[in-house]
Amino acid sequence: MALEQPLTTTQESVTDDFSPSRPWWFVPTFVTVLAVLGLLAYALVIRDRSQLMSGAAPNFTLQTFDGQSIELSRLQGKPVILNFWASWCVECDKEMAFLEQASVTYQGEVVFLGIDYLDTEPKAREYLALYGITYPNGPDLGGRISNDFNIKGVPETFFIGKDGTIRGLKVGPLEEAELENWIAQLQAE
Amino acid sequence: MAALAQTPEVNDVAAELYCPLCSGLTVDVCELEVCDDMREVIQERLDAGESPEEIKSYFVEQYGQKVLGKPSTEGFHLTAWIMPFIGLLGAAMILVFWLRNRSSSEVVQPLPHLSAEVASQSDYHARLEQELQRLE
Repeated sequence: MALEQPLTTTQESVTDDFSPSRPWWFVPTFVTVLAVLGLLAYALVIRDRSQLMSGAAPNFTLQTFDGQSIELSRLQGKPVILNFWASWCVECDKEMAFLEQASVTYQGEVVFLGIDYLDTEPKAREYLALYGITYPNGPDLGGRISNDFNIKGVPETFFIGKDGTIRGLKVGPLEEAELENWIAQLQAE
Repeated sequence: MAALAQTPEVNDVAAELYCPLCSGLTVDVCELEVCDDMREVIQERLDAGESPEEIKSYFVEQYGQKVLGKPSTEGFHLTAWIMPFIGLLGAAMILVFWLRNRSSSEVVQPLPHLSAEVASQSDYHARLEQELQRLE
């Protein structure tokens, strides 16, 4: 027994001196796996970010095709109908005429804004002329506005209350009666 | 639908731009209407004397960096630029750890069979020798 005790101590000493408590690859592998998992989790969160249905509308400044500069936050006090569209969007055709009609009917009471999504300026201008659109429209430069509102396509229409908060969202083409209902609701608030 | 790229000059510029709606297709081969429109704009701007770089800058202003097929340099997209370097750093760290470990192993491995000359320089071996002597 006297033989075994010192030798065991010596073996432990060897282990302490030459073998780290963790394998050599532990730290770099752990850091790499952690970084990849963190990125994947963040990417999933970003991808599944739900569309804006409520809360304060993200502010933006729209440079319209006719040279105006319109900041959303300055429109507080009036309801805003914010419509995303594009000249190549077939479904957008269904709502442009009565959006224009409503903008004329409710001029001074409700603000209509059109955001041209991933389009070319000449085609957008042709499109606006085709439907005789007179309310302010402008390109979504750099895709910043559509990104802030997290739209999934066009057409999409946001209904913004007098206090600047989003009251509702319509994905796809609006119905005329639906638009009238929203306007009545926003004006009554 | 309009014809595809009308001239080689248009094609050259369009080939360096990516469709803003679909992923991975360049404007010279994409058949979406928006890409037809983009080719028309390229033609008009070339005719107006703009350089390919000016035209590309115009489209970046319109659609953002993604139209160049490069990730944005803002927010989360910045990771696409940073991660390759972090990956390289990680790989370099692993390589260094591995090399260090290998060289350590080369020293450690012969220990149980150390010659008397090398062992005499080792505290461990001295202790081992003492133990062995006690046994004898």
